[in-house]
Amino acid sequence: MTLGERFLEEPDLFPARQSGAPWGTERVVIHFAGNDYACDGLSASQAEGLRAKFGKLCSTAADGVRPTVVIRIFRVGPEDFVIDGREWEFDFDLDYTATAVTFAGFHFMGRLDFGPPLCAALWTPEDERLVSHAIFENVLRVVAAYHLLEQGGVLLHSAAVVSDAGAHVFFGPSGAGKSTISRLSLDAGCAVLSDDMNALRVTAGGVVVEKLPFAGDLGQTMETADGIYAVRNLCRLEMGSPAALRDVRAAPAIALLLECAPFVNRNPYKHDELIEKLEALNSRMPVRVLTFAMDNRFLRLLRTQEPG
Amino acid sequence: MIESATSFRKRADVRYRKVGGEGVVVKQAAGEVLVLSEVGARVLDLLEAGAGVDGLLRTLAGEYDIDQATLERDVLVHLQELFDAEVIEIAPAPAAFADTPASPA
Repeated sequence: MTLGERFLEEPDLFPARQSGAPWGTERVVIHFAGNDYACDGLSASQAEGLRAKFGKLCSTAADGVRPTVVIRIFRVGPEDFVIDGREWEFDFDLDYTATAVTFAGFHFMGRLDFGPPLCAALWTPEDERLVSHAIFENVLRVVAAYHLLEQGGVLLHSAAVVSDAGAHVFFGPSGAGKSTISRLSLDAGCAVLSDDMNALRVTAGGVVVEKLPFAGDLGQTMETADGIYAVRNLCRLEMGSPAALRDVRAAPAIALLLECAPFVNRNPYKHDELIEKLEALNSRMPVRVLTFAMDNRFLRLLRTQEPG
Repeated sequence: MIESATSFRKRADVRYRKVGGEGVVVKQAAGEVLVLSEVGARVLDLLEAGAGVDGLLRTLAGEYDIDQATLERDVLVHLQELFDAEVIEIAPAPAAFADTPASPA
């Protein structure tokens, strides 16, 4: 199957290079997880939409200190995309080569070239809907996942909960209970970073977590915490009773993490690199499986049974 | 039914890596991740190295203290599981004759 044939009129004409006509001259820089994501070529309304969406994370210039990834926004005609009366689809296709990831979705196509430096381009006929219909956010998620991997980290489909002692990171696919455990943690007086996607890195001092501006069910409606936190527990979630923690051997632990490292985990060219990063993560902070019910007993369990 | 004369190979969309003696397999087209036991991982290692089923049995007989009948049964079960999980596929039989070069006109 050719990339984007569900979405593009002529998939074979997918842009081979990052060039085209920009929407405008606006630039918005979004800061998170220690990096700057500089979006160039925006129209005024696209820039306004990004500033409204990402709020205090935005500025107009990179500070020159943090690593920067440039994302260029290009205008293309609507006739480049399949128009068949379908409802808006948020799902999109990815394809991989040794030097780039390409993606195509409803009214957009994009490419992320590994460079160095890493840089991305997005082609769309949508002005305001670039932000309101999550086109930009979908692309930014892919870009952030690869950027983190390049930096030795991993974007993990997870909820991160912060208490005085540090952070607990709970990961799992959709439906595993990330938003549920975030709500239970909030009720118990903890703060929540993202309840959907967080950045994990292995540092000299241990594993740290930082939130990404991609919220799940919970974060859409509330202000979440900021900052970088030492990770005290890294747990794959399982809903059930009684509350329990169990250790996991290395291979199943890596398999569980792989399932929750989106965008990168299907890339055959990044497979070994991703597993190396996950092995480093698991060796510093061993994955355990947390069974939890609809109460906060899991917090006591995590405090009293820290990883060995 | 798998027989000892059958040859297998890892499917093209499967990525595999040893972790702590066991195997982590990613089926990239399906987006599935599997964990192989130590023996399952060893079987896949040998297949990747080009071993046929007979070669697998000979090599594993030297590595495990197990009688031949049990070894053969266990290996065939592992192969069947890997085949059913779409990790491996039957390798095409080698051509019986070398291609004949075209004669100059």
